[in-house]
Amino acid sequence: MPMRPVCRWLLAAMIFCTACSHEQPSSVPTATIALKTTPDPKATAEGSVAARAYAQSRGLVATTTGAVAPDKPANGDDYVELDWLKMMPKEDLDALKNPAPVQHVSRQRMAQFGTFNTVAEVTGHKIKLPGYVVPIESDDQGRMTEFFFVPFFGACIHVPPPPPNQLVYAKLGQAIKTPQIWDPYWLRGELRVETVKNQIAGSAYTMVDAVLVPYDG
Amino acid sequence: MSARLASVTSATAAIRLEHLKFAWRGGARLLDIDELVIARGERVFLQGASGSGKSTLLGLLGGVLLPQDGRVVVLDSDLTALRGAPRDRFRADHIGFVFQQFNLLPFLSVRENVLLPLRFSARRRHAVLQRGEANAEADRLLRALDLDPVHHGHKVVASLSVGQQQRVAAARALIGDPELLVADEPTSALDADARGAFLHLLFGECRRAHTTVVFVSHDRSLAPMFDRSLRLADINRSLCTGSN
Amino acid sequence: MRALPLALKSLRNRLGTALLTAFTIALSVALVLGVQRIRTEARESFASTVSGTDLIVGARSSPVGLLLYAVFHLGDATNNVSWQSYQEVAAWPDVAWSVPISLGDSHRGFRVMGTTADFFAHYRYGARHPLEFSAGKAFDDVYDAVLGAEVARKLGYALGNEIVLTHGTGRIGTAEHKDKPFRIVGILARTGTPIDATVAVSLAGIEAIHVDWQSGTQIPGHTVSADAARRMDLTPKTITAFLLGLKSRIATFGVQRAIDDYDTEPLTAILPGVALQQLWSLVGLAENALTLISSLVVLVGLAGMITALTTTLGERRREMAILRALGAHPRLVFGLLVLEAGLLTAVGVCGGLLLMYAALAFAQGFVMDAFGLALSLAPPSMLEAALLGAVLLAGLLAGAIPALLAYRRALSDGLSLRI
Repeated sequence: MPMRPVCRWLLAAMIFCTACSHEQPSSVPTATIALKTTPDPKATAEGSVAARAYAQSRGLVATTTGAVAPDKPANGDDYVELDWLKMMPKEDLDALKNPAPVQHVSRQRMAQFGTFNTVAEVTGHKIKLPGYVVPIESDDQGRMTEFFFVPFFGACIHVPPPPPNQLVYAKLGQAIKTPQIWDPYWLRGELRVETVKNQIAGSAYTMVDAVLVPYDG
Repeated sequence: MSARLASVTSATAAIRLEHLKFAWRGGARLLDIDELVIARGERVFLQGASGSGKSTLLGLLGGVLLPQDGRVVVLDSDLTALRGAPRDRFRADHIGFVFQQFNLLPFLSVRENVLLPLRFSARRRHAVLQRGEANAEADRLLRALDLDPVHHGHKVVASLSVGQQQRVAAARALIGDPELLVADEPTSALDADARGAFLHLLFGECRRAHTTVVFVSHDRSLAPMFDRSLRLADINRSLCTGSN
Repeated sequence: MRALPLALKSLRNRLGTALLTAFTIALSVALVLGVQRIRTEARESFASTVSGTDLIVGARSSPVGLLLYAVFHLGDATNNVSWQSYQEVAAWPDVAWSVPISLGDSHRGFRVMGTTADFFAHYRYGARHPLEFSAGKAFDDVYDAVLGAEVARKLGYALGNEIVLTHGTGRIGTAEHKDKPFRIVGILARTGTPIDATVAVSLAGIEAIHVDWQSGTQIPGHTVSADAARRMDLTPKTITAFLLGLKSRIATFGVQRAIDDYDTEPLTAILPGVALQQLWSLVGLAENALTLISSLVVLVGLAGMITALTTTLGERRREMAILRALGAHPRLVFGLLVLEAGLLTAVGVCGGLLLMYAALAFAQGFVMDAFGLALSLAPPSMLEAALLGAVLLAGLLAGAIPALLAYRRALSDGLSLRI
């Protein structure tokens, strides 16, 4: 099929630019990725640990021993820094350390592992979370209004996606210029828990009137 | 001819130079004048060759240049003691200049050129407005210098002959009755007939306003028309004066 | 204000050079402003093209490529999605709705998209605006077509008109499905998205026109008439891509991963927002290069002005001496030249603004046709106004260079200029 000249140009530009720009870690799955067969429960459990290690190595998440320490506001800021792992209930954390064999509904369904369980203690007060922005909705001018906030950047193939209780579905009071998906940010605001309309009864974290601040380390 | 006039008191001196020394930056001393006094209303002819520093002297008289040493007192104001802006204001208020050629701003009409000094001097503007309207005064001067304002007033400068341009320059220099007129070879670009006519018209107007005239030229033949004739070489003690 | 009338008259005296200089600046300003505007408009327009869709799924390809052909109808898919895979995924418990789309045909340069009536119910753009009909309704019959606003406007179509689709996406159709014309039953209201430049038909319609195109061409004698085709089973075997809406957004990542790992067929699922960001990162390089170049063009324009002003300085030494003799402070000489530069730049800036609007108005139609991008003629934004201010400032600073030269000469020349 003859391609329109503009498409040829765009394609060439894309190839050229992809060849030149390798600063950001690529999250583009190539056509030659080997397919998984049966999802390995131990692998998925280790996945979360691996994800955390990845985030720690990038200096995103403070290293903790997993013990629950009382939260203290830092630097006179009334936003308490929250550790992502605190958003997982204890049962989930235990499950990670001792993964039980996981049942699957169908062979193809490599479920986003993890549960729709949430922890009430992290909600209802001002917190700040370090992480990355995944834009979902924008307004008529293309400015972002809703987004996911996730602990690490890049949908790496060898690590499962963040489980439902390791992400925040946030809405902004005012639309902002869409941030880069590879820049780390602080998400500030109050977490809420909302029921998820699913065949699995569950809940997930949301935030209204979220505020994003560039991550300064 | 002596530069001293014993009968001239400081009150009637239009110009007084005392121990004036000037050199261009990086050059040898060009001017070294012990004393020069010019009375008010006097018409002085200053003769000097090219490069002898006569134009430089005019610059000093006008306060455009400052000497390294000595005083330049014009109309009882010591120009060497004034700072830049007051000096410029003084020049605008009291001195009119006529150069050898290209006196006029090419982008203004004849009348606008004549009226130009009034933009820079409140005193001269005031003097003109007291007598009537500014345009009327400009026209009067043009007529006095034998130029028809109706015909030439709105014209572009480039369309006039050199002689006509010089006369417009004279009108510009004299509008608002400045006390001092400084002319740097104003007739050198004119032919003999035009030269005589120009000076005649110029002196007529200067006499009416009792203007002091310092006229610099290399052409000795004009000297008799003046009250006093000086040679720059006589009063300039500097070794670097050019030969005649 | 002594200097202003003098500056104006001085420029008028050299009108030719002045206009030329101002024109050079105007061109460069129009360029930098135009680039900026197109950049911003393109981003806004692209970013608000699709909303409310959680995932877009197609045959395995790069996310940006999938976004481009599925949403913007730019480029072509290299592979299709089988109907079975689509059915299976659409039946997953997390999925609330799905809309299949099929691309590959065109009509007089506009893309034809096969889809279901659900498309009009679920497709949103901008701040979740739904599609609206300015005339008619969605398709019912196999050979019904719905036009985007720009298609109807440009080709002058109305309800009831018949159109013939072309095989392939080339601008000039040499392979037309002449025997199976489509009837226009609906025209959409303007959206400012590529939908405006799209002809939508049912999936069955797409199947019908290809039912006798077994090996890429229609073989005479083996054709199937339009009516005969209608009676056949027109379930598609493949589609190009499909849109997914999930029951809960939180499940997005899980479903995306599941589709990426789907073993029956290689598929890719993208979050439109993320793919868009990836598109910008690619395009960003080109954008930055373009911005840099257009800024350099402005500098060239200003350099031309400096040259013009400086070369006339020699001629104007006399003017400066005259002004000095009249009692003008060297500051006035400086101010005069800076003012002239400022006036030239200001005229250039205004001229550039007008030029840009003229060019935009001229190019609006073509850009909408080719890219589905709506260029607006809105007044300058804050950023654009700041850009214009920056150019003006740069012009004044540029004028300061010859002005400074003149200033120093005015101080040192005195009246002793030899002609």
